Amino acid sequence: MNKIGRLCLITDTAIQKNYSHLQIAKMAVKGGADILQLRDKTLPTGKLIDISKKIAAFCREHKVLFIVNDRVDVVMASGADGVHLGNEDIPVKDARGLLGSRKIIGGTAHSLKEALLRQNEGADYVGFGHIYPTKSKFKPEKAKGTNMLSEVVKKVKIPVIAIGGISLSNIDDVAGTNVHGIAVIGSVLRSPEPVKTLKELKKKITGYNYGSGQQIKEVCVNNCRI
Amino acid sequence: MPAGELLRLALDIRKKVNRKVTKIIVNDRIDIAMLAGLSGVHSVTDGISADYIRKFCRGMISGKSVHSLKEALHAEKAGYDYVLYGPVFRTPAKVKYGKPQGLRKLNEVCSRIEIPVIAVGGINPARAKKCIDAGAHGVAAIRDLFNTSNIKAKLSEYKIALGEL
Repeated sequence: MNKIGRLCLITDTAIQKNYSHLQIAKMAVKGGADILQLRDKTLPTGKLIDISKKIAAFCREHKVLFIVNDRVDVVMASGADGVHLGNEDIPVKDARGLLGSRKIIGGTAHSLKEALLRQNEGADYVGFGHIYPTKSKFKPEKAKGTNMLSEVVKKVKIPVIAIGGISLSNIDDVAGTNVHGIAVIGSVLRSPEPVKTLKELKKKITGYNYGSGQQIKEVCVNNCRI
Repeated sequence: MPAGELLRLALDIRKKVNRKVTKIIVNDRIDIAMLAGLSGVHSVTDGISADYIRKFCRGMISGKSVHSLKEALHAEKAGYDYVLYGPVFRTPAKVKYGKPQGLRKLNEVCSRIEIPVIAVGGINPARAKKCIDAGAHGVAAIRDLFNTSNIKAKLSEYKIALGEL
C-alpha cells in the first residue's frame, strides 16, 4: 500500500485564481509535498477526469501520492491513488467496495467520534479539522483547536492529517500534538512564495518524531535560528 | 447535490421503481450507478465518456446529450447507446442557448444515426407524437410532467399520443 506522507497540498481554484490545478501540482513537487489532493466542485466530469489523468501521471513520475476530493468516479477513471471523502460524500465503506484495498481512502472528521467512525469504516487516514479559523472553505462549525486534535491523535490508530488554517505561524503547535501530517491550502496558495512556504512547512512537520512527542535535534537547531 | 445524498436518493428510487418497466439512469456518475445498481449512465455536455461507462458499468446503458447533428454523429462513433437530442421545441430552461432545433433537424439526426434518438425540450403529448413521426425513438419530458397535479393522468396522455395505450 502507498505510504501516507505528512504534508498534503490541496488544489483549490475557487479561493484563488493565480494557479491552475496542474500548476499547484508542480508547486507541490517543488515544495516537497507528499500528497496532492485535487479539489474542484464545479468542473464537468469529463474535464475533471482529463485534469486528473494529467496530474496522476505527473504525480506518479514524482512519487507524490495523488488523491481526488469527493469523486470516486474520477479516481476510477483517471487512475489516481485514492479519494478523500467528506461527510456529505459517498460513505467510506461504499467507496472501498468500488475502489478495492489498494486505493487510499481518507475521510473527514470534525470530532473524535467521527474520527473513530472513519477508522471503523476502513479509512486509511482521517482528515481532522478545521483546527483554526479558515477562509478557504465555508465552515458552519467552530474551529477545533490543538487540544481536541491532540485527543484525536491519541485515540485514533490510523494517521491523522490536521487541516484548517494551518500556517507557519501555528505549525509548531500543530506538530506538537504528534499529528501524523497536515493539509494546507490558503497559507501556501496565498503566500507570495508558495514553494518556499511549502518547504518550510515540510521541515516543521517532519521535524517532529511521530509517536514520540520529541522534536528531533536538527530541526530544533533550525527552529532556534528562525 | 452532494454525492452521499445522490446515492441515498438513487437507492430510494430504485426500491420504489419496477426496473423491469422503468429504467433508472443517473447523470454522469458511474460510481453512483454502480453502487445503486442502476440501469445506465447519461453523459451531459463535457460529461463522462462512453469508454468509461462501458469499462466500469458493464451491461448498463450509456446515453449522451447532443445539440447538433455533428454532436450526434460523434456520440454514435464514441459508442453511446442512445442520444438525447434537443431542445426540439422552445423551453424556458434552454432559452439562453438560442433557437430550438425544430422537427426538421430532429428528422435529419434520426435518419443519419443508427442509435435511438430521444427528443427533449418543450415536449407535450401532441408534440411527442410529432417527434416520433419525425423518427425519434422516444421523448423526454420534464416541465410538462411536473407542472401537473396528476402525473399518472399526464403519463397516460403520453402513452395514448404515442399509441402505446
